[in-house]
Amino acid sequence: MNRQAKCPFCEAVLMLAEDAIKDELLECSDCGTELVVASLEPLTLIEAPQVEEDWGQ
Amino acid sequence: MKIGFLHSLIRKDEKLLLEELSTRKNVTVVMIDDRELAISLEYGPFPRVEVVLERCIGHYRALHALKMFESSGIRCINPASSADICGSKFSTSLALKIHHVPQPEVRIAFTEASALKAIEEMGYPVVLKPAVGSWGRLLTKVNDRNAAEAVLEHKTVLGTYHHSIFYIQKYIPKPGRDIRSFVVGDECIAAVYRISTHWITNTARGAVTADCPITQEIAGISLAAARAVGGEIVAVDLLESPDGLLVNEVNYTMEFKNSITPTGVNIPAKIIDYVLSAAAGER
Repeated sequence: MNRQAKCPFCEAVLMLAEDAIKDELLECSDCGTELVVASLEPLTLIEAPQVEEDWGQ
Repeated sequence: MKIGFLHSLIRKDEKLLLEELSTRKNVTVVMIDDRELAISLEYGPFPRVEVVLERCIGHYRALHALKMFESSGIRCINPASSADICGSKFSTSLALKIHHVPQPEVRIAFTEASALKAIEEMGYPVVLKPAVGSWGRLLTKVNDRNAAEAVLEHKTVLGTYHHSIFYIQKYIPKPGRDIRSFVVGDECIAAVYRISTHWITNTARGAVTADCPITQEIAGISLAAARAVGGEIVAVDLLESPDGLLVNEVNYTMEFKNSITPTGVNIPAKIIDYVLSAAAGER
């Protein structure tokens, strides 16, 4: 599988780990934008949703 | 056996748990995405699994999904009752009080005037916290009356209704750190110092972690806090006060990725061991 994908913001080419999975959170190594693996086939990255009020612990 | 993995976005913590599950024999992981759930009270669909391990990023989705699954007889870790308590700072404080677990002084008020009165009686500084929330968001250290009046008015006017449920906690001076301990079942498996020059010591706000040796006091209060909220796998935030340790918060979907290296404890393996033993009916 092609493990290269473009950051949807800065268009940097990112190399994803072999074990990347759908819905995984990533950070663009170029612009620092938080991204989500939206799909593996085709490999697609989208901007991570904004943090919501009840997120996290 | 089948393990339901309730999730939304996959953070490093979830990835580590999934990697750990993939190493176990005779285990099938059923991914349950909270964004895709549309459950009928009568007909489900409910996952056919022995246990659901809850790893949602958002509290309310987790809470409601857990309640639905438990209503159909599915064992969930943590239980919905625990999520209900831990998701509310007030409910957590109440549970700690009922179980005689030490915590900072807390008051609840519902109007600006009564909140200001409570703050003045407690003495400055105090910390105002949203009743629901984490990662140190919207925490406010209130040092004097001017600040109290301004913050209370802002929360009332600019916030949604639940920001007018004022949760007021006595400020406990920190020695540049707090402690996060990790409880799995009947064991306190690890603890870290969260070190920061800022008064907010969440790692999401830049604090760094270092190993914290588990003393009898840390283990004792951590287990007591876990029992108070009915949690099986929880992270307990502790404050060091002159009178001993105090429980600040209890987290039911614990984030641990920054605590594995400093402690040397394989936290995801401990969690999965527990979940699989529960699935086997041993817990």
